[in-house]
Amino acid sequence: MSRQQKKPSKQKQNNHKIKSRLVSWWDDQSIALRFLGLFALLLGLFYAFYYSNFNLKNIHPSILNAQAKLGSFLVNLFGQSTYADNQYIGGDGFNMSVSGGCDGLEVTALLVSGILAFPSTWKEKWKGLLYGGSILTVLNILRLPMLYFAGAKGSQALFDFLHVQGGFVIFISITMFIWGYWVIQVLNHRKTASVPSTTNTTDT
Amino acid sequence: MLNPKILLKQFGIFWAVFIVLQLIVSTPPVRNGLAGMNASLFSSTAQRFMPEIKLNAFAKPENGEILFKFHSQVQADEMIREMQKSGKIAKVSVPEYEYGIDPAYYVNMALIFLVAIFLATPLVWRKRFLLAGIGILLFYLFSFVRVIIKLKYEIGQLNIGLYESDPAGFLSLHKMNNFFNSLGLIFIVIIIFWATLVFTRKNMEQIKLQLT
Repeated sequence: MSRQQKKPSKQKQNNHKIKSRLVSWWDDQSIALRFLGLFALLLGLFYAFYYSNFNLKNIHPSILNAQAKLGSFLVNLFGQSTYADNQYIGGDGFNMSVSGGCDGLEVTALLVSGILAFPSTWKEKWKGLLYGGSILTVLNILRLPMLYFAGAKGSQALFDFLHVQGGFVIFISITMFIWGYWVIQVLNHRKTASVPSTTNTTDT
Repeated sequence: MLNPKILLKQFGIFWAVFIVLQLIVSTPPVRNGLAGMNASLFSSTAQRFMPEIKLNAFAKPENGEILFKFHSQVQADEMIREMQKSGKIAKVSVPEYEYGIDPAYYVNMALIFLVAIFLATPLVWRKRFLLAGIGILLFYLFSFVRVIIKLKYEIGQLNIGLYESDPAGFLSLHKMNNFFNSLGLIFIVIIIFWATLVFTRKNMEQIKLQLT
């Protein structure tokens, strides 16, 4: 009898231990996990839209055309005579096409997802989106003329380096820097505001 | 108070590591060694998941390209069966195909980015290396998926009766290939790996201390 009574109590104890460990683990991780979950979800939503037929047929080509036109206009400001034809920028014996991946939308989505997923007020988020988004947009617009000059006046190797590295590594590192800077500003602002109830948000 | 200037230092570390590793990896012995390792890893994994083809891969020493050589095992079996039916005993020559990938863009750059981002994270150095190691493992698991999808798609395009026979399936393979092999997604997946491994309470406390 006593054996039978001990078994369920041990099991209960074990269950309780596992439960309390899980609860404390969740308490430890929940803010980070919530951030990660939301961050991945937002990026997933972006990619679902980015690769949808609707975007690829109706929206994306217009964005690329507009970027090519703007790029050509900026190049011409520096005394060149280029033209934009659909997604192509051509002139002076050098042509380049603005295609998917060169549009800067993925890095912008990365910044937007990072800012939206981070636990902060909407006022803080708007500031980050406005300043961060503007910096990335300006840099991406300047990237096209820079690439054109690298290809037309420089070498193919320089063009390839700036195209691939510039397209992703430089832009992603800049995006992460902007995001990190924004997070630091948000956390510092909370500390100076000295509201005790909000101090635990720094755990993310 | 967290000091944003320290973020600049970390940014500097990221670029220093990235440039140094790029220079090291672009030297022919390292480039070819890595390409040979990747060729054997990718071909053995792809072979396991694609038994319908006979696959070999090797690194070309002149440019470090990974060259996959393959033939359809289904086609080979059919030819042998036909030979046996007709009673002829001869050597069967099955058409062999080739497909090359440039690991500099396909693997190395993303891998270097991954290592640089982990090493630039403000944690104790031992942890940076440990997390970079786990990140590399995750990246290779992801790369295996990419390689299998890429090979299936490229073989399907050859119209040898393997993956293109089901048009709907081939269309989804085409979409998956575009998605999984876009550079943007690869870097974003690395960021997600990085965030998953770095953003734990313990690490965040360390990062806060380092940034103060």
